[in-house]
Amino acid sequence: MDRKERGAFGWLPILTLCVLAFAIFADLFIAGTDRLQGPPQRIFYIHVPSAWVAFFAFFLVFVFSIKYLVKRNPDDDIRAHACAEAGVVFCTLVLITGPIWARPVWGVWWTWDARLTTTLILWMIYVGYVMLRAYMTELEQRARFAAVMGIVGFLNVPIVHMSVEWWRTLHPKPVVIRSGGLRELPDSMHVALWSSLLAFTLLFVCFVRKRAQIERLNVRVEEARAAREGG
Amino acid sequence: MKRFFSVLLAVVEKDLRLEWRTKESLLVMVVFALLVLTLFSFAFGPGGGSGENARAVQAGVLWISFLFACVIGLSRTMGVERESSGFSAMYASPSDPSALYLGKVVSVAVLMGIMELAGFAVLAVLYQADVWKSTGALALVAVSATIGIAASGTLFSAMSTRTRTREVLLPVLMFPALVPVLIAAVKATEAHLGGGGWADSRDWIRLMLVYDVVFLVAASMVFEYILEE
Repeated sequence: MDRKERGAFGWLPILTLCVLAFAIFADLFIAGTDRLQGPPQRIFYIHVPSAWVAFFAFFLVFVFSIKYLVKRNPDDDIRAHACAEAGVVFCTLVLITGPIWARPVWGVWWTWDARLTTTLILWMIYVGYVMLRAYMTELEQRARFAAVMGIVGFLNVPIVHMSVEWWRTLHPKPVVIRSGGLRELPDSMHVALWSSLLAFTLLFVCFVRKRAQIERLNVRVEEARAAREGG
Repeated sequence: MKRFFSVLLAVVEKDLRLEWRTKESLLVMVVFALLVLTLFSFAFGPGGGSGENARAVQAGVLWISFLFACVIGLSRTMGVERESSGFSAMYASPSDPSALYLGKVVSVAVLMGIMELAGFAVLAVLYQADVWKSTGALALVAVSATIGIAASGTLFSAMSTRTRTREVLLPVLMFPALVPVLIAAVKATEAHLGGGGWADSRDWIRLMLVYDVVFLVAASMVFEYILEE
């Protein structure tokens, strides 16, 4: 079963590598240097795709969690788990690349801007999700608790965002250099941004597939061990 | 519907009677909250510092101490269920799981309410905070925040208490989820400690009520999956 599964999408990692290589090339050489921000702006091509992938991952956790509670298919739990872990990885990337960019451009590593703060809280919620899983042994119960956490955590995100936004409006806003939106980006930057987005999304899919595969093997090991001890 | 409320009340009655006889959580909660309030005055200076900032510090200190203290109450209320296999009993009973959940929320909220009364009194004495100017408004803020804390806290403690680490995980799960309530409660309390009007706190109270409703409804719906065995 595993070999067949690997065979069906065996080309995916290779494709991902190719797109990733092109994206890195585009980020560094095709895209022009930003006139105001200079070279630090290029981190944008890592930062934005990571953020997109992280939010997408947490949304998938929500979807698979609901699906698990309704259908009770252990595979949905494994998928939710894989998405959550990959999401935390990309969310961590967002939180690391953000300050690296902010230091030269804003002059500070961190400001309590609404979007930054929401991302930080989001990261904490899903770190909690991963920890909850790590500290539970009983498979079925773990799947149920994690699903509940995946649903409640996601429902909370808009409220967190709203509260943080209101909290910040009572304070002076950080000076954010606002671009005129996507439409004002030059073509070369478009190429870099979209190829990075595609590369990161493919990378995310690869991570999730691999993680889910490992988790399925883990479950089989656990079951085999239980069967041996039981018999 | 009648049955729903009788189950809910039975859970509340059981929890409060247990608390009345053992006095295990409330006392610890109150003492702990007072302790944190005292410690914060060493950290920030007497009365939470001077000038405009003092009220912000007082409101923040107050709610942080409540949050910390309620972790103890929540761990107890669910720890008791775990030790006496109350979860299995709840699962085996034909009652609506959401009634059981809401009963737990109410009993936690009652304990927290008593603790908060003591907390506000201490704030008035130790920090010279003006809690008398708008008692009604502060009470409304406290009630809406307490429901939110009890609602999410009960759900998360029912989960964390059955992990390998027991109660240790509760703050890790609960505090990030409670960020909106903490922000809103602190901001609204700050406004009313300064004698501010409804205009300053209305939006924050609304935010907390939205949170309360979302959490109560969502948690009631998923609580049966927590009870399952």
